[in-house]
Amino acid sequence: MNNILFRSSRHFFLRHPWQLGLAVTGIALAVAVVVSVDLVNQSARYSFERSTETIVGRATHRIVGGPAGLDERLYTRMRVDHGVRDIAPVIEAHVTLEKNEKRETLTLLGLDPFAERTFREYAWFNNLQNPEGEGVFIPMLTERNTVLLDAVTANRLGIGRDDEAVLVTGGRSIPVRIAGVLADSTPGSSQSPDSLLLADIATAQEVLGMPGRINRIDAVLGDGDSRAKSTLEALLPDGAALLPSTTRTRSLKQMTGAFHTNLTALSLLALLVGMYLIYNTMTFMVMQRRPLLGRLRALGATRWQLGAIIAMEALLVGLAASIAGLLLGVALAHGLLQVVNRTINEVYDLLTDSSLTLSNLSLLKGALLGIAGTLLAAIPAALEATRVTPRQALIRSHLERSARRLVLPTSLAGVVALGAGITVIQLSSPSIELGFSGIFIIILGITLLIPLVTVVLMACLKPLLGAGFGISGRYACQSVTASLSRTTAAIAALMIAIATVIGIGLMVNNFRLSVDRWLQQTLRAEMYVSLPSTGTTASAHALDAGFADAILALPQVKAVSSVRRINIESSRGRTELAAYGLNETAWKGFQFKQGEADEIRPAFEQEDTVIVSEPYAWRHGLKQDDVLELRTDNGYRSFRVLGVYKDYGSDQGVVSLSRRTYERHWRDDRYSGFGIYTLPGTDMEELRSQVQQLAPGRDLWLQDRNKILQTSLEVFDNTFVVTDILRVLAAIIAFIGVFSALMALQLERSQEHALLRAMGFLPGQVRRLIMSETGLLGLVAGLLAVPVGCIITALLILVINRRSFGWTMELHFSADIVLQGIALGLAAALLAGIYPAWKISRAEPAEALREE
Amino acid sequence: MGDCHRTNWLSCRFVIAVLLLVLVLPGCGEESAGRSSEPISVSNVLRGDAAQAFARVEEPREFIFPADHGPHDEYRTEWWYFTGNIDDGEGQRFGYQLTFFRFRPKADETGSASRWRTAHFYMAHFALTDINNEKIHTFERFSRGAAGLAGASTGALHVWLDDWSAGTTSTETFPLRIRAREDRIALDLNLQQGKAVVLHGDDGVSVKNSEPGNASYYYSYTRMPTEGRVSVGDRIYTVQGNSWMDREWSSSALGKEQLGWDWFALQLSNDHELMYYRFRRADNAPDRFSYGAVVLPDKRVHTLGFDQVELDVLDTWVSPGSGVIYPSAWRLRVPEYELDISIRPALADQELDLSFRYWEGAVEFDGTFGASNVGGRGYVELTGYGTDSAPRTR
Repeated sequence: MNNILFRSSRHFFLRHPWQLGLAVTGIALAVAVVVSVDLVNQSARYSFERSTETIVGRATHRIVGGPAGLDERLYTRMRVDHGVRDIAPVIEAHVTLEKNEKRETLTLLGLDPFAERTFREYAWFNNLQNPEGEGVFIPMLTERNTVLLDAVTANRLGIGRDDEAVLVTGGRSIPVRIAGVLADSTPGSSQSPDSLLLADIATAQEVLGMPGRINRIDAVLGDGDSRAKSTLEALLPDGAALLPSTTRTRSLKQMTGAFHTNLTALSLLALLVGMYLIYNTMTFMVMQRRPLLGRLRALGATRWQLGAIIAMEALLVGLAASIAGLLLGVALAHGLLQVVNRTINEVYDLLTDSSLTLSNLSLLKGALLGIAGTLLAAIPAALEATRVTPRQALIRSHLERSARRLVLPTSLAGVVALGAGITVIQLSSPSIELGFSGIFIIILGITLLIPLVTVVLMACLKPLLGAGFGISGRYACQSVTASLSRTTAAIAALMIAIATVIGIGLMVNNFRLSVDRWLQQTLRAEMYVSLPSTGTTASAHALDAGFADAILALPQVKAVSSVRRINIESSRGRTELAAYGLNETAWKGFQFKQGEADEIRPAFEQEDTVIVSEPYAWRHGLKQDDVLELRTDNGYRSFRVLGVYKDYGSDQGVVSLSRRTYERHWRDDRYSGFGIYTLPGTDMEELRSQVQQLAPGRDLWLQDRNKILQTSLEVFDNTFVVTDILRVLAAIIAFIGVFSALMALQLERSQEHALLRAMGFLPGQVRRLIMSETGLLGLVAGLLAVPVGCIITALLILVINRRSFGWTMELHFSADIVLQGIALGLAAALLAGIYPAWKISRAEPAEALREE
Repeated sequence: MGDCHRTNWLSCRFVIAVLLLVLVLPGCGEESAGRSSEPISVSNVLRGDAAQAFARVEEPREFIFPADHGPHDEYRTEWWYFTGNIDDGEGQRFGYQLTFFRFRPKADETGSASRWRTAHFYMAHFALTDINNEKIHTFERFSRGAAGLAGASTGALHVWLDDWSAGTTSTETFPLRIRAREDRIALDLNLQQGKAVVLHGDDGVSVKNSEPGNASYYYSYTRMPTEGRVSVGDRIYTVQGNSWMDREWSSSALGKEQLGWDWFALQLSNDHELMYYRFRRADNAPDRFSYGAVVLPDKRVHTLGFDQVELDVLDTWVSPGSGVIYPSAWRLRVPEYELDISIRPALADQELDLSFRYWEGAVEFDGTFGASNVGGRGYVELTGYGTDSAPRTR
């Protein structure tokens, strides 16, 4: 018996190769998306851990200073006068290295190789050797502009030992010599460093133009070593703090946490689409053979035997698809990683290396998902097919009748799920993960409503189509309802896919519009000038007040506003601080969510107050009149929050204060950038060259307002490239799923169509019938997808974006994106009808009927 | 005659060996890889005239103190070498060594806005021999001679690396304070001037070999009454005894045939001191650059040529750690003074297995000086053992 069963199974698949192929492809794609996103997220995390290991080493604590870092004499005092041994001075900055047209942003680590034994063993002077064992320590310490490069980066940039390259930092280009390449395997480290430029601390000071200063002092303090800790703390000058190293790793992870969560969620959305597809395909493959299974039952096959055969089929399909999916997923991950890294570098100013970490766990997860998902999806169909009596199985109407009986209970479950989803969202703030769960439950609820909506819609459309297309129209409507068991899953899969495409598209569009409007409102000056820098290390690169005066002295300049951006580290992590020297026009650039611009201005200028950006307020639970503690150069000080303003510039949030307040608390007379306000009719090109001449030898970053608007939106678009890729992938999966389901649906009914032909239907009428049926399915899915897509958009904006970043934005409706979504659904549906329609109209009715 | 001073070779050995040979010179990576287990061959230590760009020791100079206690940056290598025997008066005996080396690998120096930029590097060794507990504690440190982390003052005898230091902050050289602490071992001693400064060789110029300019400036304080504290773990001992200081700087290098040296700094109970070093040659022939000096109670100094001292090794000791065989008992005779003593280590295991491996430790001796008996304590340094040309077990 088993033999017959196997053969019947094999025979079925051999006769329907496209169905098998499409099923495998669809499942494989879903697995691929999930696996690739998981791999990318894992790789990014490993990359952070690796760079943390390379840069932080075994330091348990670090001593950080204010915007200008620390006085290097603090280190000498600790070491020589107080005999503190396990400390090391560190200068860390992001710089660009150029060689042969290739350029890369690297972490420049300026260290004292004598102090590194306890921290970064690879940088301990005794270990500083080329792979051949040649020491590079003396030239590195005694020669100017001499650096070491890690092997991975050297390989990538095609740089070898003794090569010359150009180091770009703070608008200056400095020729450097690569004295050596760090060995691949570094002592005391499990990972080889990447994107690392190692230099002696003297070189780092020279290159970065910060003689006398260091960024931080790393320290190793034993757990119980409170004496060493208090020794260090007693020596700290005002404005310096001893922090545990973990805060650095933690804030790195926090920075990109929301980003990675959102990626994961998008991949799960793709998976959701994939699961519907798997369910649909598996159900279909079983349903299609219902009569055959009935006959086998009649011949004596037991339920268990049939169940086992179906399970085995599902297992084989799942296995094949998972293998293909894993391979595809790894390939996809390579591509995605580049895109994700670019985003992380651009948006978060973090260096991540580009090597993909193939985590077994990710792969296992993907494989399990493919196999178990397929198996699970086959269960309902297998149960149904094996539970019914052999006679019932031969009659399709039995199945459809039971399906129709289920419409009301299913709808009820759908309503319950909707309620549950909304409740989850309401109760789960601020969890991003639970927010997504709520959205998924809502989507599930909506899909459960699909049978009801389909029945109702068809009932409404029937007279309409009947009037338009006569009997074919009415027949099409009727048959959609009649084969509810199959059509519902197809519509659901299609609907979810279209809704996802619409939802994400609308969300990004809304976001972009909000950012655009915000930029228009915020950018008040005609031109902006700063030093090109890589964000977090901006403190090292700065302009002085004399430069502002020189700009102001230019005849066509009306006014100059200033900003100083610094990062202050405290036990709570990193806070970006912006100190503004604003004029009336610039002040109007702030859009307050809390606080009245005119009312708070005097206090902002005069008192110890700050305004915080929306994300900062969200992350730290701050509102107007709350008090914020900041680590100033005089220790911790309290600042009153005057208001919360809109800002899409940083998802970590910014604390802004007036230049005057800043100078009261921080000993820093430098500036990060200036806004230039010009007289009407100013030639921007001329102004640009005049300003550039004020800073000879430095390559200034000079942009007029329009250019900034443009580049900002480019960065924005780059950020959402990943989102778009995932959106397209979800659409492709849906397309394949729907295409295969609908086509199978029609092919399965070829006898019915033949009967119609025999009854006198013309080939054209049957073709029309088929096309209207699939078209109707597409239409129903498309129509449903519009409100669902809007709901997804609203949820993404109101729940996910807010929880991830604290941003609020207006909701806009974009007809293009909605129409694109509907078109996608209709196209898939109509395309799926073409082949069956063509086939049936060519077939001899008698031949087709004989197969019965 | 009277050329080579052990400290010069020390400098060559330690500083050049560690910093230059191991780390800088191409093709020596294999040796560096086995740094702690494979000793560096003396015969491979930098030789010849690699020092042409540095100042050379060619003629006597007028020593001016305290200025000459400070660094002589134009020379390649320089060191401040303190050793001593101390005890707590109740039978607890210690030997100590605290040494600072300055090394300049390259003659050219670039100016910089950074205080960290330098051409000078410092290494320091600190050893405490706990004779009663039969244990030697050894430590080493490295640093750049910049940013205040390590260096030597120009106006007073003051040399330091991190919080290890020797010297004084006043223009008066004595009393000198010696301080070193690492792990739970600490030394804090005050040194008084016992005898005047001794200029070795020809008015302080100690010629190394026939190569012109291969010489060093070399002076010593051979007896400095010492008192202070020694900490070993939780125990603190109040100690007194005698210390010895060697100062030397040069830009020259070791001769090809010299494998290593045995150096003796002996403080005799009759207020004499004897300094003697001899080179061991590959061909076992006596090295005519070996040199010695006797400091009389009236502070007069008599130099001793290589043929005026007879030294016989009576016994050997095998280091359980490195397997290297070191001499461990000697008979030393200076016929001219009717001096005949036998010398034994206060503790057999005083090997310093640091970046560079050698034996340096407290010794005691007794014998006769003319008609009378004489005893005393001192320090001996043995280098170049355990290299390919010298025997070693294991």
